[in-house]
Amino acid sequence: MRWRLQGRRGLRDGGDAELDARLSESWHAAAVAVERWLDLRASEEALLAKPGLSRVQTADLEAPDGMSRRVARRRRGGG
Amino acid sequence: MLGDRGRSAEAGEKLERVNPDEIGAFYEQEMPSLVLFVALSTGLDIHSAADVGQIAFEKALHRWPTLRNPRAWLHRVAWHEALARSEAVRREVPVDMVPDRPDQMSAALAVELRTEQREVIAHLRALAPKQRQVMAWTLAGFDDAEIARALGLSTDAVKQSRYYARRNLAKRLGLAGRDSR
Repeated sequence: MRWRLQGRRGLRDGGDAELDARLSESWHAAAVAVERWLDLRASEEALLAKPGLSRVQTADLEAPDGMSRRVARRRRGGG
Repeated sequence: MLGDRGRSAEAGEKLERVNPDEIGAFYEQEMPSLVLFVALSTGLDIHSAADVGQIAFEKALHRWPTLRNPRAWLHRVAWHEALARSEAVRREVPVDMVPDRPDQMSAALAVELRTEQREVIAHLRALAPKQRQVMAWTLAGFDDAEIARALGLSTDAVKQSRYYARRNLAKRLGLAGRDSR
């Protein structure tokens, strides 16, 4: 998994362990869901950038490292 | 002490040494939680939160060599960007047309979560603004001093907001009657 949980130490005040567990688990699951959604979004951006290709042909297209085209362009030094 | 010119030259030299793979790995690791943090702390929808995260990363790229704590810097920039965006929406749209804060993440995310996880996220988003903000910063892994600085609060105020947030969450999740401090 590319994303790692950052939040566990935040629940540091002691108290209800079950509440901590549910918060951590839900935060983690939501972040994973966001990660998948971002990947899907990047794929859709790639699809829009290649209008001549069919959806099947572009299904695996993705910006480098899952980044959006805008950040990828920045990394390459473009505007 | 370096002057502006000295700092600029130093930054330029550092920029040449930056490994793009390092930034890419940082992006992959941090972007999902940053988007979640923005959506949760500000109530922005997930699309707007992703745009805010993107803007914060673009700003970070320009300053990357000079950032001592990129993660904290990124969250602070995203936080302020999200607040500005929320304020702009409030100014442009008549109040009676502004929908209540969504009580769940977008449908695209909702299908990925189990019912009980959706419930927790919905309750987090339904907290009073200050409690929600403190919980978002807390879950993102920041300590009380960092949260206090970011939100312009005292550390005692941060602790108090988190106490009430946790108490409310415990109550809404059926875990009330325990010490949620």
